[in-house]
Parts: sequence; structure tokens; C-alpha cells
Amino acid sequence: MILSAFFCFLTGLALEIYWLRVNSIPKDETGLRHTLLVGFVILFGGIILVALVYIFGLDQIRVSLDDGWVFLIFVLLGLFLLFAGIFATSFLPRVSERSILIVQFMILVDLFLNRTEIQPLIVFICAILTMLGILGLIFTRTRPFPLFKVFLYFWFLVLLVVQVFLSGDLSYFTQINIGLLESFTFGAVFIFIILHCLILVRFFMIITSLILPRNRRLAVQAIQFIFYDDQTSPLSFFLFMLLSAAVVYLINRYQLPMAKLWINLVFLLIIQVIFNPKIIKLFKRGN
Amino acid sequence: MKRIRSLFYEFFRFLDNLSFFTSVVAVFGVVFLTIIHLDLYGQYRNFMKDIQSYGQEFSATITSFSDDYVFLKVNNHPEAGESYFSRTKYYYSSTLAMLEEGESIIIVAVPNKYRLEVREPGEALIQPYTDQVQRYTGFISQGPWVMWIICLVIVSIHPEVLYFALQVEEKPSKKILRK
Repeated sequence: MILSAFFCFLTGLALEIYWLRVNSIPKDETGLRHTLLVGFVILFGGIILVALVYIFGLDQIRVSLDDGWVFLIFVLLGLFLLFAGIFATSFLPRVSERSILIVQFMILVDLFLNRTEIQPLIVFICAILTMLGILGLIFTRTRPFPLFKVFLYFWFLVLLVVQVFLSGDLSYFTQINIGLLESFTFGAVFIFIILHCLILVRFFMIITSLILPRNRRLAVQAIQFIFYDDQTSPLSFFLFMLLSAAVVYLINRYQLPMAKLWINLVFLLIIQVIFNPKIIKLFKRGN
Repeated sequence: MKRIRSLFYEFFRFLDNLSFFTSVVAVFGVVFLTIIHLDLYGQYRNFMKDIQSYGQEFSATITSFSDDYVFLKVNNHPEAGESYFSRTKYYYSSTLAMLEEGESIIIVAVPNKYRLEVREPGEALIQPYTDQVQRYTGFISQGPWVMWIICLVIVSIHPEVLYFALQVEEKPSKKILRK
């Protein structure tokens, strides 16, 4: 990766960390203006760094994990992610049942379109469970049972991580000719994915601990924190689901370069912006 | 009888306390050992993917063996690298016993022009035994599974550390719990 692309990568990474932080604050302590201002400051900082790289003619310098300072950044980032994913809640992406189900549906569409080397039985089970979940939620208009939410969230994490793992999405860092916009997007998606991988391990441990009845109370409390219970109308949900599937289809159909990166960006936007009740409220309140 | 029951009770209480105090370490254990297992699988999967995408057949000679690798030297193929290696773990021990130093064999390896496209350009597959590599499931059966299971059992008994910061939220009311 060239130096300017690496700074774009770091900017995307910093912006995503800030956005995750905004998302996970439990009470309405953040205002729209403040949130956008900090976001712009991070973006502006990144643009200045990239501009300086071009002004001083350093744009063709290549960086890799063999460089000491890059390695140090990644070590610190790894430690930060480990604690953020396993122990903290400050960067835990909060989800709604709609966002979870749409992302699951999109992942399945993507897996089928790419004929990914995954056992057909597993894909079939995934598809059936997801469809039942979607239909159940739409027709009954009820909120799922808290323990069911724990399993639903775990299932969503499994599919998300399996999709990334099968697509080899995290290999973009070693690409030499990655553009600035792609690097920026990759930075944001990178944090999003790594954090979800660690949360998957955390939830795997939580699911295993449910074998003892005394631990179930803790899991129920935890899922109330992670899950938004807000409901949207079935019509808008269906339309958005079809639109998302169409986006995945078109990206795959026209063989867009770095297709997986853009698909993961759509996942990120669905979870953190489009189907995120807190962000919607923040924009509606508008201060 | 009462004494035996009391001894059992004390023993289980000791195990419970031990799990509580070691649960933080066990969480790290599960995380790191899971990463190790996934890495084992990823290494195998990437190798197979790269060989399928870019692999070409070359004739080579076995130069030496170690516990983990078979070292190979390519015989006069300008487009191939000079030397490659093959991991012994992918082959049956009976197969490895049949191979000899200086023996000429056919390998499938990534040519020089694709070296930058793959993760492990020096790794090759010994052609007559491709099916053994394809059937390899060592990433499931090998690895530090015992330690992983012990750590997981400890965390399952006392998972409180996983909820470390999640308790900041107000406790859910009985109404929410019933939904």
C-alpha cells in the first residue's frame, strides 16, 4: 500500500471507530451537530495528511507491516480491538432485528450468487432459518423472546464472519494498486469486520455459558443492551430487503472491482446508519 | 455418607471458585486459541485456492526432509522458482516413508510471474498425492483443542467477565424479560 492510501486507510479506520462510539452510547448524550463536526474534523485531518504526502512528493513511498511505525500502529490497534471486542461495550455495534435480518438475507444472496464453496446443506439451513425469522417477524409483528435474540444475534455474527472469511476480504492491505477511496472504505470495513469477529468469539462463549441456568439472566440483560426493539413497517422493510438484494446482485453481475468491499460497506451502512433507530432519531431531532 | 457429600460439595465449591478466578485468563485463552485454529484452516485454504488458480506442473527433485517440510529443487524450468517446499502434515506418513532424497517427482507450484499474487509462493503440492492434500482435515483434528475446551468450560461456568461493561445499562424490568 502506498503512503497516501495508508493515510486514507487510517482516516476510514478512525472515522469508523468514532461512529461505533457514537452508536454505542446508551443514552442520548450526543447531538447531531457535535457528531457531524467530529466526523468532519477526522475527515479533514485525513485529507490534510494525504495532501501533505502529495506536496512533499512522498506519494509513491510504499508501506507495509515490515515498517516499524506501521507495525506499531497495528499492534496498538490489535490491543484496542481485543479489549473493545471482548471486554468493552463502548464500541459494540448495536443492531435492530430488521438490520440483522436484511444483512443475513444479503449474505445469503451473495453466497448463492458466488457459488461459494460452502456445503449446500449449511446454506440451505441458513436460508430456511433466515426466511423463517423474517417471515415470523413480519407476520406476527412481535418482538422476539430475549434468549431467541441472543441466538439470532449469534447467527448473524456467524454468517457475517463466514462471508468475510470465504471471500478473503481482508487481503486488500497487501494490494499495491489500491486507490484512495478504496483504502478509506477498507479502513472503515476492516474495523467493522475485525470487531465483529471478536464479538463472535465473545458471543460463542456467552452461548456456551447458557448451559448453566444461572448465566441466562446475564445474557438476557446483555441482549437488551445490544438489540433495539424499534419496529418499521413491513412494506418499507420488504422494499429495502429487495433493494439490498438488488445491490448485491448488481455488484456481482457487473463484476465491480473489489466487490466484497462494497458489499461489506452496504452491511456497515445498514447496521450503523439506515436501520439504526438511534441515528434515525439523531437526524430527526437535528441538533 | 454425609461426610462424602460434604466433601463433594467442598470440592465443587473449590472448582467453582477456581473457575471464577481463572476466567479472565480463560477468556484470553479461548480468543487466542480460536485465532490459532482459524489460522490453521486459513493457511490450508489459501494454499489450495492459490494452487487451483495459479498452479502449474513442474518436475522437481527432493533435496531434503525435515519434520515439517519436504524441500524440493525444480529441474530446469525457467518460469518456475528455483526451489519449493511441501508441508509434511498434508500427506500420510506411509506416503512420506516412500519418498526418498534425490527422487524425481512432479509437483504443482506457483510460477514466478504469479509470486506477488499468492500468500505462500514457495509452497508446492506433490502431484501424485494431490488427493491426500484435498482430503486433509488436520485443521480440525490437530491444534491445541484440549486447552481450548478447558478454557471454554471455565468461561462457561463463570462468564461474568464477558459482561464486564454490559452491566452499565439499567436492569431490564420484569415486563421486558417476559416479552
